[in-house]
Amino acid sequence: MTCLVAAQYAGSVLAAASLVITLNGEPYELDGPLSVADLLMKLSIDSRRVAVEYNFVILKRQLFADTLVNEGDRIEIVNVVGGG
Amino acid sequence: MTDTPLVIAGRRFTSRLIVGTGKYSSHAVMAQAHAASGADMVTVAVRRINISDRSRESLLDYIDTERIFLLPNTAGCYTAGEAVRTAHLAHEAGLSNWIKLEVIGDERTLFPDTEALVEATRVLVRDGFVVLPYTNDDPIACRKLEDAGAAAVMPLGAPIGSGLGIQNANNLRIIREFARVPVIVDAGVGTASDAALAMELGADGVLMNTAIAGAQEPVAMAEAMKHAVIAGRLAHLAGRIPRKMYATASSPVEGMVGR
Repeated sequence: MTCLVAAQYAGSVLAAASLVITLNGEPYELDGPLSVADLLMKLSIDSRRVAVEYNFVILKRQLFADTLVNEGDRIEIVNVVGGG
Repeated sequence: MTDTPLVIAGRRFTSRLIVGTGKYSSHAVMAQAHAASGADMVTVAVRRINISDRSRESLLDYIDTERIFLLPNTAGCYTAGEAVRTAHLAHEAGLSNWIKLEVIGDERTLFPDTEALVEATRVLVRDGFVVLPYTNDDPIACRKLEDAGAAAVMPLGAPIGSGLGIQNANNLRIIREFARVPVIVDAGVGTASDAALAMELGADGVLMNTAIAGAQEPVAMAEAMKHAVIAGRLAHLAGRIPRKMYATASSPVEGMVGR
């Protein structure tokens, strides 16, 4: 009984705190809402070398710090690779 | 004989050879090949960043961007909308407002969809981009692209990565004659003589990737391409002799010993 309550409690905490976004086409779990700048930092990405699309709109670099990533958001992060 | 530099949209380039950054066995080999080619413009692609593996070095660490101008492409785009989106992403990723515009019409041949290409050119020119479209070896398509505001036209010599060489030399000559913007032969080069031929036909430059990156010795091939482009350009400027059916002796016919 104690175990079940604990499990339910843990579950509810998880549901309240975590969220899922779509990052480069794949589901990606976050502990909670955070800015695009913080997301890039968390992923060890140098923000000067990437472009970010936020829900299909290209996000200007100056807005990275003020744009909050939330449940269900679609984020695309692209960079330069080899090509012809 | 002194040549004028290649100028596209007011920007001067020392080399008439433009090379790619794809398909190399390593970034280090690519950097050596770039140096050997003498190119001061290289193409790059824009793709989703690898989220799970952040350990890989960035391509940009191996390109001296002080010396080499980066030309992003819209490779892999099949609609005008996709290509426009990719061009804007490239710009936002810190690159210039130049774009090698590709709108592909068919997966097997990678031939361009010229209708969509003209449309995307028009949109991107309006958005302030310097547009260099990769197109068919079709003088009419090239003219339409130029009318849409393209800063150069880049007809293919043969399908991308095919190494077949110049398939329609006559069309390339007509394109050069019609165009008021630089003509860059883009794709199809297999070896140095192909690049030289493109230049002999009057092209203002040649763009290649696989011919160098896929060669057994990419650095040596890059050097060969550098010389081929210079040689072809000089031959074009020098003016070749007309083709004749029969021989004309190079040595005097008079004064032969014993006659």
